[in-house]
Amino acid sequence: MNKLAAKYLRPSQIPTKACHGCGIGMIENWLLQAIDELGLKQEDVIFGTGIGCVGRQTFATWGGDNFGATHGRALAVATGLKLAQPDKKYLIVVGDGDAASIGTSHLIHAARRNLGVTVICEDNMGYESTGGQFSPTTPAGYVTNSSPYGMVEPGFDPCDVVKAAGATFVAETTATQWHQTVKIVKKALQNDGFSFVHVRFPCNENFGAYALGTRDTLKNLEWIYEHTQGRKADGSETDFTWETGIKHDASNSRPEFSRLLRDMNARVKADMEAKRRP
Amino acid sequence: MALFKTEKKPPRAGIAGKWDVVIGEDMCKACGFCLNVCPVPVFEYRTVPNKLGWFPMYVKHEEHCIGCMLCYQICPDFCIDVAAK
Ligand SMILES: Cc1ncc(C[n+]2csc(CCOP(=O)(O)OP(=O)(O)O)c2C)c(N)n1
Ligand code: SF4
Ligand code: SF4
Ligand code: SF4
Ligand SMILES: [Mg+2]
Repeated sequence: MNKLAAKYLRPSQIPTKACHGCGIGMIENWLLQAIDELGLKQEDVIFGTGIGCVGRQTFATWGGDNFGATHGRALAVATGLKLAQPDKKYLIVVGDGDAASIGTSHLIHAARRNLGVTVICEDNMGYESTGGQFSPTTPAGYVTNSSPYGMVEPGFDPCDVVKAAGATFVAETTATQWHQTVKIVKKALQNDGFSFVHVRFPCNENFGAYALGTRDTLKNLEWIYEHTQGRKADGSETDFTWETGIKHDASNSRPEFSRLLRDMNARVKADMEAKRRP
Repeated sequence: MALFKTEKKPPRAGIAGKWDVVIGEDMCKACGFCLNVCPVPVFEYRTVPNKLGWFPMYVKHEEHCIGCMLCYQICPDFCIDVAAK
């Protein structure tokens, strides 16, 4: 086990149940690097997940406090925890289906409130734990288990949505951008407000098998690499390119939700106290 | 340029040989990323499976390692550590 995993993770949960070559563990390794570079300890970070492969494969791997919420509801639980324990850092690691489909409403309102948590949306472009159905982030035209003739719906960019809703830090990377992801997650964790990091990663077993016609781990990660660069190995252009990088950085520019609520609480208490005096 | 490099050349003398490369072979799921991302011939598959049922990767030629850390960054199962000797 690498040193950071030994320092931060729960040995009984490693190796995870993730398929071989699944990007979920890769991204978690980069999260650990960001946490370590910020000098955070196990007790400083609360790690929350939802349902799906991203939830299942990261649940209880963190050596500090963890929670697993129902599908799409990780931010509802995180909101309560943040109000109760405002000084902790929150890493909410959820899938594209969890964050951008069943949980979109929670996502939008957590962004609007500027809730002080960092959401890592790990996007394998579908509902992979349930067999590889399309999700709102499946690229147009691609075949999945539930779109045998190609994804007919237009896609949906969760970064645009959370930015419009008021998130104070928004960024996008992919599973072939280790340094960028570490740098971005560090910035996200330093924002006392709502941070959203969208990371696309390969699912060999389902997305790969249906959309790319292969479960080959190397071909799946190479496909992510090509669509990050916008070029294939032979120099030709890819059918589309993800625009990665920091999309919006207004870190620490407006009050964090739990702070607003606690300030109000203090004001109301003082007011009531004043009124009670004869 | 591709992410994975199938052709490997042993590194020029002087750069290599200054690094410890360690793999937790019992945790390896044999995805092949480390072997294929490494610019030099360091890794090889074992011919006996580990307790997970995979033929794990092992460090065959540590002396070729140039310390680029790509294998450490890309391993999805927290198996690899690279450190200066
Ligand atoms: C309320 C509820 N609805 C539906 C499901 C079934 N379900 C389990 S995982 C999943 C999709 C997960 O997709 P995503 O969040 O992208 O995670 P992935 O498995 O792709 O990592 C669904 C629909 C559920 N568990 N709970
Ligand atoms: S089904 Fe896909 S996303 Fe789920 S663990 Fe396997 S490779 Fe990863
Ligand atoms: S650090 Fe670089 S050169 Fe050394 S084994 Fe890893 S990938 Fe190969
Ligand atoms: S990258 Fe990790 S899991 Fe994959 S073959 Fe190498 S050591 Fe094994
Ligand atoms: Mg998904």
